[in-house]
Amino acid sequence: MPSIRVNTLRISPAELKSAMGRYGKVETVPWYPSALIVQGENLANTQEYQLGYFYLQSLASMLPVIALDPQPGEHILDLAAAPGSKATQIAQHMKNSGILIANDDAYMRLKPLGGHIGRLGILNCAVTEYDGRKLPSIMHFHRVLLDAPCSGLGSRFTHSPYSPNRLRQMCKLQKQLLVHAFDLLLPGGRLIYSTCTTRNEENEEVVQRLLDKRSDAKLEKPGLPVPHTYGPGARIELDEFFFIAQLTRGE
Amino acid sequence: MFAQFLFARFGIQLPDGLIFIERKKHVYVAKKELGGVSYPRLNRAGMIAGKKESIFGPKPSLDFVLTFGHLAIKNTIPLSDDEIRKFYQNEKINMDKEGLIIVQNAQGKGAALGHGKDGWLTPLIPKQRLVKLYKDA
Repeated sequence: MPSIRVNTLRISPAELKSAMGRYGKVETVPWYPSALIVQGENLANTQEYQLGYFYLQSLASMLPVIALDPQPGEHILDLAAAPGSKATQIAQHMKNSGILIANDDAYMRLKPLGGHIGRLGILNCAVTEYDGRKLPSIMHFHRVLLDAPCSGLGSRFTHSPYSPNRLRQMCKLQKQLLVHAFDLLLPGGRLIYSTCTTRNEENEEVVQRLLDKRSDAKLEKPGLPVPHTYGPGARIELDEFFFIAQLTRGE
Repeated sequence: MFAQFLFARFGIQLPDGLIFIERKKHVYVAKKELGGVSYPRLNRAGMIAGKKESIFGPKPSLDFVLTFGHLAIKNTIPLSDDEIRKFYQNEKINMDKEGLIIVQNAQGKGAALGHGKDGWLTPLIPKQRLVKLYKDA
């Protein structure tokens, strides 16, 4: 059954649960009040979706933002934001206040991101169009999310057949993105690195590379409300796989 | 200019802490803090509030109506949930107001934008936001 994230900027989980009952059975998710599991197909073709009451999102992909723990009024960066599931979730946690920068370099993916921002009524988000490795250091952030481009070998949506050469290039890109993401943090700031691939080379090895390059980077255990293995970085198997590493920048 | 139109037509005044940002064709609405964001490759700040010009003159976006439609105090029409459901299926509503009209739901929240003419209110909902009805083959 598909899971949805209630857009609490527009409606309460209880109100939406009641409204979605017309499409089938609706279940709550005990560890995240904004998540619902709805029996039904083609939920994007419903009035509730068009009114911006929810975002279709897998349960596992809600976890990086839960670990990021965005707070109202902060300055937050989502470095690889399109198509916008996590950026819009961050805005929701920020209660539409502070500044959220949602960056991506894929112009074609920025259009759906803009569409979701409007549909969900998000007012605190600016969208920038940079290669994530080259986002200017104009601002520094309390929290940064890098949900990195990855091979997707853990996602229920993507099963891209990558060549060994392409995979090597991707690991290099992930390492460069993570170092730049870290450099954009304010002292004491939190960085979440996540992927939906099971490959060690795209997860633990990328994190280790940052720890080797930046002496003020500290690895922490993320506060996750679901069972996971840890070592280092959390590995979670829910409706899809996610790897989540939490890093902080020394004061 | 867009702010004046919204006030004149619907009596909407933007709440404190928000600003309009005018671009070439569209007007955006955003938190005041975003006014200071200065990345050279800024794609957008906030959400599209509307078009400066359309065949109806200035026109608020559906997203603006969904977010701020509850602030409208004139040129509005309350519709039931069932009527709004039909409106999102591109069905006209029988009513006698003229020009741009904000549809509000039973709780007074903005639900849609329509255009009244000759006794009918026509949905002004972008094609991709209409709810399609599927019939069995």
